[in-house]
Amino acid sequence: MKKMSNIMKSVLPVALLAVIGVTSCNKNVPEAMPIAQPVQAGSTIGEILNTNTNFSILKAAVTKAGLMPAVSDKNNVFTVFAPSDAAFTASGISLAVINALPAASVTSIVQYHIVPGRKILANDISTAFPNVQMPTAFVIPAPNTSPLVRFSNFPSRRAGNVWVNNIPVVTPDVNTANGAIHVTAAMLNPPSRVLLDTMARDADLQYLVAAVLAADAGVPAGSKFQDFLANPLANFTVMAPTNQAFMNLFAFLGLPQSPASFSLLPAATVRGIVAYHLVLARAFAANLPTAATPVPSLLSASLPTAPLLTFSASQGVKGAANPIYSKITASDRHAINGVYHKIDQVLMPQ
Amino acid sequence: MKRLARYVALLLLMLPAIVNAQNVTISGSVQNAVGGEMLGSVSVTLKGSSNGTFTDAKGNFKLSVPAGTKFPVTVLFSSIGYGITEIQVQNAGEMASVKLQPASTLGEEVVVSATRTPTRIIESPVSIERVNNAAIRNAPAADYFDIATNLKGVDMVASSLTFKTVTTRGFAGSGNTRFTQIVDGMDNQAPGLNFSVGSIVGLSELDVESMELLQGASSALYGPGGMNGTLLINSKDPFKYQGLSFQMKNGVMHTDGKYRDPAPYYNWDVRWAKKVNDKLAFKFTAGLIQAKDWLAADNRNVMRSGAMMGQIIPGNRATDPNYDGLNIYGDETTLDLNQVLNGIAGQAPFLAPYISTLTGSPNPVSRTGYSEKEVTNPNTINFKMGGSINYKLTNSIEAVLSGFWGTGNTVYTGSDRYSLLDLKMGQYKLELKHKNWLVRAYTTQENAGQSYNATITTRLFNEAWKPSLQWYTEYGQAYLGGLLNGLSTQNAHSFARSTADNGRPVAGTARFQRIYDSVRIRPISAGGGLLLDKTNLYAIEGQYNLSHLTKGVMDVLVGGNFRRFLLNSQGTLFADSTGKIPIDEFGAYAQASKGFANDLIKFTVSGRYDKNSNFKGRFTPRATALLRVAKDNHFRFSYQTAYRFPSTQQQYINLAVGGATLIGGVPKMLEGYNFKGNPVYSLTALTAGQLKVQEFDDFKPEAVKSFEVGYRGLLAKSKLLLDAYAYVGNYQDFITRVLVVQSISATPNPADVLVASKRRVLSVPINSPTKVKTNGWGVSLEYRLPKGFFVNGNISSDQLGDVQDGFITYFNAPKYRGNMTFGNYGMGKNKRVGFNMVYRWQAEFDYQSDLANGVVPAYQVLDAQISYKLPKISSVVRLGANNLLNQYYITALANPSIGGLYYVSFGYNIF
Repeated sequence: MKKMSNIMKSVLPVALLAVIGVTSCNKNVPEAMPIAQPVQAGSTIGEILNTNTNFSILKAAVTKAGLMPAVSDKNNVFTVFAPSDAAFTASGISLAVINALPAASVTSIVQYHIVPGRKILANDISTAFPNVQMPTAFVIPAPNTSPLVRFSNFPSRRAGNVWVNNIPVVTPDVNTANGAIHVTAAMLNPPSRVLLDTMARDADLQYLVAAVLAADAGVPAGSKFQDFLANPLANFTVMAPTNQAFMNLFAFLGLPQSPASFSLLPAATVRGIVAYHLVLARAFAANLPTAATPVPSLLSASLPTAPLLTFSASQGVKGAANPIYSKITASDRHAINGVYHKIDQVLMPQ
Repeated sequence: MKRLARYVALLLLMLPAIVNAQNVTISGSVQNAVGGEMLGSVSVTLKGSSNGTFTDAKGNFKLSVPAGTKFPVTVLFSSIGYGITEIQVQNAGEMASVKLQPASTLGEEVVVSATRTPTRIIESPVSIERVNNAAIRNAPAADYFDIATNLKGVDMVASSLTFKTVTTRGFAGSGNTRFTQIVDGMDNQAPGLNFSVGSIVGLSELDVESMELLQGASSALYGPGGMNGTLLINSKDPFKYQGLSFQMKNGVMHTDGKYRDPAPYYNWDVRWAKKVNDKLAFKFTAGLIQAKDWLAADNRNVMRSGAMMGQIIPGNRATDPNYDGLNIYGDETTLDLNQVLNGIAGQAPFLAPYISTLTGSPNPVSRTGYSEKEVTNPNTINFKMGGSINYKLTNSIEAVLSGFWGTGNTVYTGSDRYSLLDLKMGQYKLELKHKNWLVRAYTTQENAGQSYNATITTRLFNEAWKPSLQWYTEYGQAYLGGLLNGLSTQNAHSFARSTADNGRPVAGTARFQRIYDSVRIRPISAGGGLLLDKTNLYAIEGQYNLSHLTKGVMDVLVGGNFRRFLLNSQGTLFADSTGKIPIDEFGAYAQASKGFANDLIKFTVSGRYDKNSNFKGRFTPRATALLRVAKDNHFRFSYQTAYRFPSTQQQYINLAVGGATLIGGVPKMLEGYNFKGNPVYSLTALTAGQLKVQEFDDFKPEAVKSFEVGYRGLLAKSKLLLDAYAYVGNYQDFITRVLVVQSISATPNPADVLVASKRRVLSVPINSPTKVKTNGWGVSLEYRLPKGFFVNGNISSDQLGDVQDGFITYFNAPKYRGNMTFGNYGMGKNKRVGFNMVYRWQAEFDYQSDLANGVVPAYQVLDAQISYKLPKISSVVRLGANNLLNQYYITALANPSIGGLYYVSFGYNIF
């Protein structure tokens, strides 16, 4: 027994050590750690629309468009240009109008105010001429089939002021849990016609439309100005001389004051004149530079040495060969694929 | 195998000639004085002569005595674990019946590897550990190879149940090229795949006589390699260990169902050895392991580029579009989505400003991967066979023809995870040995079978199902579409992934398997994942001990060897698409030792010269001193140098993995890639914005200088064996890799390397100018308690000296690790019950590899076994557990979580 107890004396510490050791546990291989997504504090866009009484018309519109669940979902992100009730009223839209309009129309109007997938704050918006083209939630309808092809709106920033298209933002950067709201001074009216169609319906632009047709004579289909101006995916600013402006030009040239006179000019000259009135960007009046700034016309796209246009918010636009600026007599006529401003002179490259 | 069969036939024909009778024999039997069982493998020698034999499995012996011997004679009986017994035999006809008393043999064991001559372990001039067959048969480890982890200073990386790599002195990894394994004199590194295959192709457990572990640099005697240590495994001599033995371990794994469903474990071994007569003996062994492998399921996210390369980072599949799980394959394919988005912006200018808000910084997106469980074969099988024919040409010269052959399925972690499927490796040897010399020739025949790179295969599987061009286009469009529907970035990524992954084959379905197999069986060189490696090694070596000639002056030993590697991967691994590449190595060594003042102090000096056809010759010296401070108490001092030639892969690999192509570093490879005509630029410098031509110095072997002191002594009335060591190691010319970029244009232009599509990334091995210092120590105690109880313990430490930040050393060793063993080989009535408990613990450490860098958490393992002897039928039954507490642990990053394995075994005639 004595021997046995001796053994125990030797064994006991060992056994104890083992017990102490094994009571702790091996660490399992850690699981992959998810990357913590920043918790979005605050209300969602939907919640703000529902609670802020200044948005009662927009709330009704969003609800009617069936978009309330989407803008209330924290897993989504939107930038909403939000007309307040006052803005809607200023645009002639009341709650009654919203209720009366077909749902599809309301949906397009609401979608046109929304840039999905990005939270764009005022500081994210470029100050460069003329603005940034942003796809909206409004998908261009058939025959388009791609869900990526959208109506665009055009946020811009000038001297601390934010604009979308030609509408001023009165309160930018309302932070929400799922994006940003910029309160606008008026409703954004989605354009419904392409430039060619819109201009053709403007009685004051019959000479210009005739010039386009004359310029396209002999040009293969697909490369005609008409094609571009009718393409909903294009993006133009048309400096549109009025009928009177063209009549003044014909008088100066000693030609009959009729749209038919374009056929008396060399086709290349007409093409050059038309191209000189097109800018490959959508500049609203609000986007025009305050200081005189040279801007390339479509002419520069095919002829890099072509003279530039000069824009000035206060004076208008000047062709290289024009002695004085043309005044903008009517601005911001908006179409699906661009905007046109009426001017009182034909711009002359040379 | 055919060749082997021919030799066997030849020997059998010679049988009648070699059976010659001795005229006088002494016969008898030996049994255990305590347990009463008959003892086999007991050495029986005639005192004062070299005549000797062994008892057979039933304890019987017949000792031949030269005619004319005068009786009475003294016969000596000895066996490990028993005291030496002498008896007087009066006449030849007398039956000598002997009972041996079990006895403590601490410090009495004889090791060969320390000096290549038999030496008592206590007098070894360098650090060495020995595991004898008694320890092997009583260890709780289900696989004997695991026993090595219970020795001090040993780290093990377990890439799978059957693929284990041991290491000492740091730098652990799967396929460690700084640690040599030698089985019966043959280096068992797979010559093409560059990992030691001891746990796959080595000896069957029943045939292991002993394992000797040399910690630390050992090139001076064993040649290039073995910079950090050498493990020698010796098989059982069929003259000594005779009869039929078998052992069946049946167990169960995955009992908690955490990684896999509970599954059986089988480990069966058989060995049959027969001494035909005093001149001829042979043996045959076979072993089979079958189980469901441990699963590597580390799904943490790995950074694959930039300064954080290889680091574990936050993120999972749901939250990181570029997620690359450690044990998830196929998700290594990555592309900056901006390329796709910018393409869309080009075609749809009206979206360009919107897209430009998305592409401000890179948007890397990885393809969706599959987990290891989904793409690797869960069945690990290991079948090994071996055997030898031993023939004594004369009384003192023995010829041994032996072979080992193994095949199996297992998983290996290299720069990627590899599924080794039907891997076959054979080692065949012809050896002539004499008391004073030996000559051996052997070959290692490797065949990668159907082995494939799981990472590459799964990536190519993804391409086969849906090419990345299409997948990323769909992803990009869906991502944009998701955003334009108001989804947040993360949700848009999820939506894009589910869109692009639409119809993705589900693992386990016939469709998945059909596509997967079509990639898996296509060689890497042909755009698949299959390795075609059939690289072989041929080696011949000899050694002569001149000590009998130089007696009284000093002991002298000389030797030399020649090796030829024949690289043969048909362009799937090496740059050998045009034919096999030979690499030759030769070396020679000499050792002299002399004792002074009656062996109070003994000096041994050895040196070795080696030359490889691709590298300059190298001389490595070793000097040791052994100081006897008291009987059985010695201090040892050694200064050793060691080095290794770059592995065959570091010389000639040519393998595209991930975003880079690994190439070898020998001049022929650099010439093949026309580094002179088409300069390569440092990728690191390029990332920092500089265009800097990368220069390459001569590629050199890696070297270490190591100084070590140690002490081994028997204390407390020979009941306590204490061993301790401390070392410092200085490494230089560390082999590492550098990433460079090169133009792939027909007319190279430096500007090309800036463009991803016009360049290739190459990973080239170089010698690092940084010197690396290591140091460490270890202490072990073996204590014999009364009644046959014993307790052993050890603790050891390895540390890396200061290195500059960001320098990857792959040191991979815990600062501390320890083991404690408590057991008894025979207790209770008739000493039939035995048990053994081993507790192992190691500290956490930073693990670095080509695959990933990160922390390997501290872990502990408790192994235990209890056995009961059935002497009447020479059998033993055992209940054993490895990782008794079933606490999962990993030994290295990207390697499996190892859980509990519980088994019952039945062994017959286990010696």
